[in-house]
Amino acid sequence: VTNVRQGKQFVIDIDGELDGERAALLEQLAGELLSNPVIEDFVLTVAQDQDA
Amino acid sequence: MRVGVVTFPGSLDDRDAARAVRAAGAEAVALWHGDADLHAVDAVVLPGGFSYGDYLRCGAIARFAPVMGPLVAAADGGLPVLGICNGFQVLCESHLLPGALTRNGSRHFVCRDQRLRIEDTTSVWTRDYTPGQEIVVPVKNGEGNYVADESTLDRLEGEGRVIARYVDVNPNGSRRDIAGVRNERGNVVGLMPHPEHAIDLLTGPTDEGLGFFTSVLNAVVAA
Repeated sequence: VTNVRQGKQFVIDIDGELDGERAALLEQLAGELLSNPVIEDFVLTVAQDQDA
Repeated sequence: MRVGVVTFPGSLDDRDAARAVRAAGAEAVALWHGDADLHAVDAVVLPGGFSYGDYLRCGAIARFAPVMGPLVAAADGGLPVLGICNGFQVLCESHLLPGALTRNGSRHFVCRDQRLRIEDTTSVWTRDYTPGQEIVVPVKNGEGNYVADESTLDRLEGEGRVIARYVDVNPNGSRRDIAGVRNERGNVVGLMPHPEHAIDLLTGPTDEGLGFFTSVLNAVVAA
């Protein structure tokens, strides 16, 4: 084993395409509600629709 | 003088906080999380407990409660606000105080009578104490481990904004034994231990917590 990571993961579904405005909103949501920047870092990754 | 005590879903210590307010000689006014109105109170206590079940992070959801809108604005304008335990966590999440409260270093919930040293007596909530005075009040938390980056801690110390420190035992691993801090102006104080549980010998280990509540009463009356 060279690395183990434990963390929180939030899976967020949206309707429609992830345009700049929606991406900015998700960034804000992640930084102001879902994480506390004093003690946590976050990474936002985009996945394709699993149900498609 | 009227002191508001906010009840969030999951607040535990709102009744004791109101009782402490009355014991100090002020009128306690019940404020409701969903009511975006401070009802013209002269000061506010955010009590301990588990607001919104501590989901997400302690205090993270309470920060968005309707009552917090006018509260944050009033605190910025100088309204005295004391956050105890969960209330301290709410004040940090609301950015009224720096830093954050994380899981206890021991990973265990801790409940004990705790000796504190009052470090700063310039805040409106500690002015009835003498600098260096030691008091014993209950502490009870699972996430009371105060953290902030080193430069923030240095600034807090340099500006005399650490209002109380743990003595003998650090119950939760807080950086630099910090039990409570204040904002620059001294009207907003966050404290992890519970002065409202130590206002008389009938129900508490001491009556040494009452000073927080008489302090704000005297500060407002003098103003």
